[in-house]
Amino acid sequence: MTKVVQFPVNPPQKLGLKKARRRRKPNLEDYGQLNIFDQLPDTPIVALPQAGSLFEEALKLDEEGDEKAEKFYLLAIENKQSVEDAFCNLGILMSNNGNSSKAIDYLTKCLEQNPRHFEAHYNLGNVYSDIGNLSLAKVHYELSVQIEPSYPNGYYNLGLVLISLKNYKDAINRINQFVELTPSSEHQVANELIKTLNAIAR
Amino acid sequence: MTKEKNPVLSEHFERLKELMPDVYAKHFREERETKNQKLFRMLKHSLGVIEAVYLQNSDNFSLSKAEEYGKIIEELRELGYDYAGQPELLGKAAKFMLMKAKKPMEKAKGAKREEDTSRRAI
Repeated sequence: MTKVVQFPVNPPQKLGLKKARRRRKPNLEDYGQLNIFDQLPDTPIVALPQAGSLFEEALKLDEEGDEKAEKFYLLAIENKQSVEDAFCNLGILMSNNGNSSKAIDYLTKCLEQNPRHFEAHYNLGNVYSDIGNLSLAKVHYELSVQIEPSYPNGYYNLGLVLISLKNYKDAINRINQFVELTPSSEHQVANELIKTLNAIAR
Repeated sequence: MTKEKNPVLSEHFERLKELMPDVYAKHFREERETKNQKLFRMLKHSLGVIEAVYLQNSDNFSLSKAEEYGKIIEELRELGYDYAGQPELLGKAAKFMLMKAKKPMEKAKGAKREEDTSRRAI
């Protein structure tokens, strides 16, 4: 005869309402996973420059007046990104720091990369006029307007150099070219200059 | 050996000093000067020193110093004093001041250049 074995039966628990409890946040690192979602307080978020944009990052920092711009321009040169433009802008930074010789060094390095870099010629004109070498300033301004005839400031600064060199007729022509290329809001000083120059040149 | 003073002559010069103090006594002249005149005289001496330094070595005379010199002369003229100044140095100062009105540096923008195909090396 077979023996009937009684299956153990637990008395069913009453299923009732369940209180909501605050759940403990799982610690991902307990599962061997790096927790990248929780931020430590006061940890700054640093945006790393994307590949190929070191020059853009430098330019952005430069526009913001951040001292790190110089470092990023040098990095851009090291990584062969917009090398000529980075040299040009380093020249401006050096000139703004009062280091004219270093400014000339960087600007001429830019011209070594691209001898027709109009900004470098224009900026060299500014550096040379700052140190009082007006003949060299004139040469570089002239080159800048030959390469980029639509850039008005080159004509204006060339006009000022020509006044200093007492070449008033050419100065009038150059300042007139500046007037032709700029909106009327920028004409006031230029027109005054032309008026005075006309009186002197007569 | 000390020379003895001639009593007649010394009496004569004493009388002259009383009659024309600005000729015989420097300190009398200085007392008559107003404070402004004294300052102007001192300033002329200082400007003379600057001009001498410039004439000795004009290459080492920076443009900013020339500008400062020009400003002093201009202010003196505005205050009604007549001081011609050193013409070469004033010319240098005028050039420097004129060039200060120049347009600022131009930054290279990078991307623009790659699009510009017209740029070729000479």
